[in-house]
Amino acid sequence: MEQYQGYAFAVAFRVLCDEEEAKDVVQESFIRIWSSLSRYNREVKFTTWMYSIVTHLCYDKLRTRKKKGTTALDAVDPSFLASVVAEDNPELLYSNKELAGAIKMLTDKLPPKQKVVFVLRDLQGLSVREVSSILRLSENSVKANLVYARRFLREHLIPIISD
Amino acid sequence: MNCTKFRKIMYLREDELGPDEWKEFRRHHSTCLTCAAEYRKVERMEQALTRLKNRNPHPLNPVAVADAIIDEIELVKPWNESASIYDILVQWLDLPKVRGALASVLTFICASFLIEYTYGYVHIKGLETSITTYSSMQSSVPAPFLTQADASGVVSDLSKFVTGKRSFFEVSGNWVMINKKSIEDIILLLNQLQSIAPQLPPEFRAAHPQLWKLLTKKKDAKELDALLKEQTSLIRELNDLIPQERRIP
Repeated sequence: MEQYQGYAFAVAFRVLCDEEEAKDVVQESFIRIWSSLSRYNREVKFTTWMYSIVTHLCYDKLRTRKKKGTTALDAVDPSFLASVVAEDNPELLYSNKELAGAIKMLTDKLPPKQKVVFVLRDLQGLSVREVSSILRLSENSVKANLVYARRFLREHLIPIISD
Repeated sequence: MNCTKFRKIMYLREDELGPDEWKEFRRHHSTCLTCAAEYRKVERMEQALTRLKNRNPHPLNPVAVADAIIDEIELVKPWNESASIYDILVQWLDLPKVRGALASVLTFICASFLIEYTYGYVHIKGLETSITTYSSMQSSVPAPFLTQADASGVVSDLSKFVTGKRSFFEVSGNWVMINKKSIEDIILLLNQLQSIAPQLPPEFRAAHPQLWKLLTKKKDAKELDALLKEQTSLIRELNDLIPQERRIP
């Protein structure tokens, strides 16, 4: 349970870049998992099913946020993002708020679908096949979204880390 | 592979490209310096993203989250008001207590049926065995059931029994076996008496009025049965005529 909560929270946090919203999504996801356990297909990995529920809830929140034009965090200093992605010391700890700010700065301009694909593949480390299964997209569509997201990130990240 | 295609796919990793595509990619990378320089930027970005990936958010307090989830779950009604009757019924049937009760009732019905069936089957088998046994006995063995009170009912069904339409009788509420040979003897005697009825003396008629009526009147089987049912005294008269050892007890 704790392990799955960790996975669910990490995905929700990275997609939404907001600790409180991520907590809400984790709770809602586990309630949905509990209430629809009878419909769980055992041929699918439990984590895939769980990621699917969490991701779709996050995706809905992102789209709502986009429509309302609200943002979860204030603007983040680019030099801080540079330090987060440049520092090779994994023992260097950042608060959730700092981490959320860094990810948000990097991915906030991405369309919701590209952001979700990027988070699952590049930050969560899932395979293309798993991402396609979770989002119910073809593998080619996942790859296309990845290309767009990475191209966009490269354009924004390279000037920051080059400074 | 040309530069345009290279720059299109350079954002994909080795495991995201097909083997042939990857070979072409590497070939172009080693020959085109401009594209190689562009690709280095992608690699730098990949390294930066890997570092970002390794920065995990601080985990939630699992107990707090579990408590919050349990609170939420308790607030969820067993079925919502907009659910259809079918959904409510399905959810109700899905409750463990209801399932247990249904399983118990079904088990009880099945067990009752099995017991009843087995008991009935054994009972009928027993009757059949007894009938076979009694039917195969010597004629000297007296029929076990016949009493004066029971006899009329039995005699009325004699014809059916002999012609194979009946194999046992209900006498005084109990199923009983019959000695087929004894009954056949009675029928045979009746036939013989019928054939010699004209020669029987008037004293016989006076002494046995019912039997005389039976022997002289030509009635069909149904009328005969009806008549015999009412005539219990006939058996008494018959008893007088058959040998001592075969008399109905």
